Amino acid sequence: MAKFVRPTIDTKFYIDFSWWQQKGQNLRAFLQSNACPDCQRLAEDTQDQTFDWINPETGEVHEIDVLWHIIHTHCKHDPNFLDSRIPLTSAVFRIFILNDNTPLSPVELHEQIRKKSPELILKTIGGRQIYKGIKPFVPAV
Amino acid sequence: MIQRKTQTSEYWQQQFKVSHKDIENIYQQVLEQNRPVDLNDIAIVLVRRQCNEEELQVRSEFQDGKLYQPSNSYNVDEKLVFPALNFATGTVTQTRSGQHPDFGNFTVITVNFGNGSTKDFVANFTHEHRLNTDQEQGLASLQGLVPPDEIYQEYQDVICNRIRAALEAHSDFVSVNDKYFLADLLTEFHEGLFNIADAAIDINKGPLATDALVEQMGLVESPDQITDLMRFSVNYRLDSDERFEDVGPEGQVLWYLERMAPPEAYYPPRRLQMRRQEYDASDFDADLFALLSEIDDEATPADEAELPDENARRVTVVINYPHWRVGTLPLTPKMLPFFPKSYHNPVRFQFVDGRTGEKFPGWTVFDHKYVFGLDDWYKKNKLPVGAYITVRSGKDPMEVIVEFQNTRGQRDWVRMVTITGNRLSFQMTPAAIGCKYDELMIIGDTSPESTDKFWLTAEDRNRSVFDLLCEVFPELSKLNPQSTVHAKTLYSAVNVYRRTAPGVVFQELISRQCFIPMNHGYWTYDPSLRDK
Repeated sequence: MAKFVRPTIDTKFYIDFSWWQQKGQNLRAFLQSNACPDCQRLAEDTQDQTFDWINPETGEVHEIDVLWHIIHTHCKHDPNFLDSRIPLTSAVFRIFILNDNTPLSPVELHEQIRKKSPELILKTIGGRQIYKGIKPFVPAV
Repeated sequence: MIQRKTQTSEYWQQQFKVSHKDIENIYQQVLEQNRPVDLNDIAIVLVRRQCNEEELQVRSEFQDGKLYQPSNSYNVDEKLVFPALNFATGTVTQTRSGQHPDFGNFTVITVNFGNGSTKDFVANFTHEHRLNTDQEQGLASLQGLVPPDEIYQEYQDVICNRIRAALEAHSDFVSVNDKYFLADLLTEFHEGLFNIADAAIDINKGPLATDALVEQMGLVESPDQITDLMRFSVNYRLDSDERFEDVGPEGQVLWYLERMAPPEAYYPPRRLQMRRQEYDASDFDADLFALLSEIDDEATPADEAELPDENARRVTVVINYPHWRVGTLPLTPKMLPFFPKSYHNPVRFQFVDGRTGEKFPGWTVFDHKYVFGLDDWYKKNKLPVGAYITVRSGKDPMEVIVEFQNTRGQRDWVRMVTITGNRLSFQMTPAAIGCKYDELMIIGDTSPESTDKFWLTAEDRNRSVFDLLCEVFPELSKLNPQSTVHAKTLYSAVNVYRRTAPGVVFQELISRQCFIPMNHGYWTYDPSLRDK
């Protein structure tokens, strides 16, 4: 088991897609809960369609649901996608969808979310309990 | 950018631990040098060694395979090195066509890293990717690393602290002032030598340097026979014996007897001790903020205190009641350059009276931010609270000249502490003051022993700063026809009762309705608003 390293507000986080596979969780269902009505309509005919997501840091490939790409493309310019009323954890997840899962630190996340504090964001996503695959970005084999 | 672990702050600040292998290497380093080795030297060698090992690992792994780049194409059974995965090596086991709505044709390769771990990677990828550089550039970027010496400068504190902790837990090593040696190789030292050292310092009536003690102990026939190892051994033995204390400044060891040192050199006088007090200077207006640095109390954080002037040849401070009472000066950032000091121990030096040339011992107590030894000098010169004291460096680095501006024969009306019934009060009384002073801070006290009872009561009852302000304010305001009192005067008066930072007094002033700001730092008090 990987050793737990206490992250700081400058530690980069990302969504680890292998966490979803290992946990047997349904990424599409979760993405649907984050999709706007337009995206949901666009995704109607894409059941079971996947694409090869490419990690911008390592070149790793993960085969994930195409709904990710639909939301990423469509909601990029939608100001309501990061509505201030959505829970902090959802806001963090949505930022990673928008930036195509480029690793960000709590300080950088705070700059985009503009609510709470980097420390609170760290406390929310940096504990031992992993929320929706959001983990410190520690590339390793 | 691709980073090795030694290039990351996360590694040095969080993951770095001194391993058994590191301890063995440090042991070898000390053994080979056969002299006490400075912690800095140990640390920098360790950092260089870790970087070198990583370099060797990278080089050997590059020999094993090609550097992985998303733009290249790879075949099954080809061996690759993955720089973004800590230079892990793996073998391509299969390939397939990739699918991405935006990227057209590319390949996905499956790589086996051994121990059952496989991962997919992009190949033949012609779009922008941070790993897509030509081979030469890729290696260059890998080699454009922060050098070990710069890494050490960046993380010096954390690296040294971890090495120090590891070596102190290891009985093979002994240390004095962050120099390390091997316990088994220390020079022999019999008990009788302690007694000789004790007697030599006693007779000298002052500290002695290690070399002088080595000669007194008869360990050498002539001074040129004294080695670094001998000095270290004597220092280590004396440091381990509770009779002896190092009272030298940074970089110089001077041995003194614990029984000859005043308690104030090691334990801060109760008068100077401050309970935890917090305030937020960002709440202060410009006048109050400026007063923080003007008062220059040692309890004021360095970034709010008066900055030291590098070219200053002298510095002047105003003494408050607690310092006046126990014969100390505050050790603030602007005062520090004028006193010999050590981060490890109190330092004994000589005060020189600037007018008479008389010398008397002083102590720099860096840990508790004060200089001790002026009690008799304050009394002899009848200096009041609020007196301007000037210090400057003597010709000898272990001498500090102290003086005041003489105004002999001057008779002024000054704020005097009086005891009325069961409480302290203040009255304007004519008094002969022989020095220049800060009119807003001056407080005369002809019976400080009686005043001490009020201080002890306030301490024992843990009276709040607000409570004390409400008590002293009416007493001070009646001395002024406008009934106003300056914030500095309130700070000075509250400190008669209790050691308090100026920021804490100011915080109370701005946060309570009963204190009403006037202009230029003056305040009035409305007792009817006390409980609002």
